[in-house]
Amino acid sequence: MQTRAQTYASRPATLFLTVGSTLFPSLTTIALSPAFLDVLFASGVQRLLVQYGRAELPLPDGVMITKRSDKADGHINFEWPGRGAQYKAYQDAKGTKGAYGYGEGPKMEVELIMFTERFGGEVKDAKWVISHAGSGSILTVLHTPRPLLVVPNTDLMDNHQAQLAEALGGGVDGEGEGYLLVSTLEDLLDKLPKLLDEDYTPKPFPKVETDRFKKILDETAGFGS
Amino acid sequence: MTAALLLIALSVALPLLLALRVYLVLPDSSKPASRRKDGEKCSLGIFLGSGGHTSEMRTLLSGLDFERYTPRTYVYCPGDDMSLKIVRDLEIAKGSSTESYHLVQLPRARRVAQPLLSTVLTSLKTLWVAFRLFFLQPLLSRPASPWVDVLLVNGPGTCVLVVAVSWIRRILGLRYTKIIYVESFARVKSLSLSGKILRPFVDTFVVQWPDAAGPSNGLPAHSETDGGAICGVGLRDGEGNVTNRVEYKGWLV
Repeated sequence: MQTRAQTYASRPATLFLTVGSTLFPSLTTIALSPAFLDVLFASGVQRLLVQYGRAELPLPDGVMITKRSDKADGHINFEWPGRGAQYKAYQDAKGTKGAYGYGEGPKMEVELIMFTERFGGEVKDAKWVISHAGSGSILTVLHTPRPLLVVPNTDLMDNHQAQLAEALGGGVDGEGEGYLLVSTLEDLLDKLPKLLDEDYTPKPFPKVETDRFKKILDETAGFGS
Repeated sequence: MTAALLLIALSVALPLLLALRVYLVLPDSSKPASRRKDGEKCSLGIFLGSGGHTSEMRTLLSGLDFERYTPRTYVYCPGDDMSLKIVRDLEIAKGSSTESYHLVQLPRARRVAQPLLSTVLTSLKTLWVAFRLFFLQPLLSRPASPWVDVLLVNGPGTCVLVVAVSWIRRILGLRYTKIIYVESFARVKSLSLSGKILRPFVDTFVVQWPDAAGPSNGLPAHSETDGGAICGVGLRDGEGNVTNRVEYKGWLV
């Protein structure tokens, strides 16, 4: 059996959207809206990978599911046709009505997964990442590195995640100076082109300076001068 | 009557004396640490808080000299397979011998969203297990030294109890464990609850953003945070006295 990494050895230009272990349905809902999918497709995204956690997934009308996992891992694949594609109405065995695009032309592949064991690998395989503001996800993406757009979850009681995103987004300097882009849910569609722009180069995130902690520990333990 | 009075006097005096003792042995950063020779070994305790806590801890450990900091005792909570995997991978990458580290399981003091009353019960259980593992057993087998020379913690809740038990020897005036708390990279302008609780009780309190422990004195606002040249930020109370030192040396992860 091929692993997913091998399957995508040819690397279609992938956007990886992740909510981590949190519940962030408002983000995944937007990510599966036709307007969002259209912008991605028009900007050259060939594959969208959504790690949606425990959110309910409202699949957009007009998609044809190409694969649905029989396991409980919530794995679903579908294709998103470009603008101007023709749609054909259908009704499946369960009575679900839908429509799928057909005809010539490329389609964007959309893959939905609940969780991933190889988060770092998915980031590496992707060309762009959209993430919730969890520090673990942010650190992984910035160290890889990949262009990153962070959407803080304003439903969380404690807003320290938003502060982290803001601080890394470069708040004071304004646009383009930060290590990452920050967006609210409402502004997501407007911020997308910036992330997907071939010329967008975020400020390089510094490598871990392991010496810093080494010195702190040595000092507390009583080593050195 | 006299016995009752004596009992009341004792029940007031003992906690006061204990509080005074704790106050007297609170870490004082102006005193230099006792020195160790370069070739000396130093045992290390590492609390693995799972998830992001463990990820950050791995990065902190990755730069250390494991020959010097040996043996290493990792404390983890049941069911946290991710932390175990991270430790094993790290120790393999460091080329350690299996005798140079061991893993100790400690029941979690509080699950996410656990109600207060049951939290009290689970915490007491955790405290008891920690007392046996990190105070009683080491005291019986090697009375002269604490369970580890240095303890590293970075949250969450359960680590507070490990620190509390490590404090017993300090209160008793025995050779004790030095404690380092590293606040998460995620905390930009405020401390986590464990950080707030532990700050006065640890020997070295480290933050990764200059304002994480409150607006700092003597630091330029919004200073360039990746430079890491600034250190030893003295925090001041209302009257301008330095209350506790907070280390800031830039990002560590």
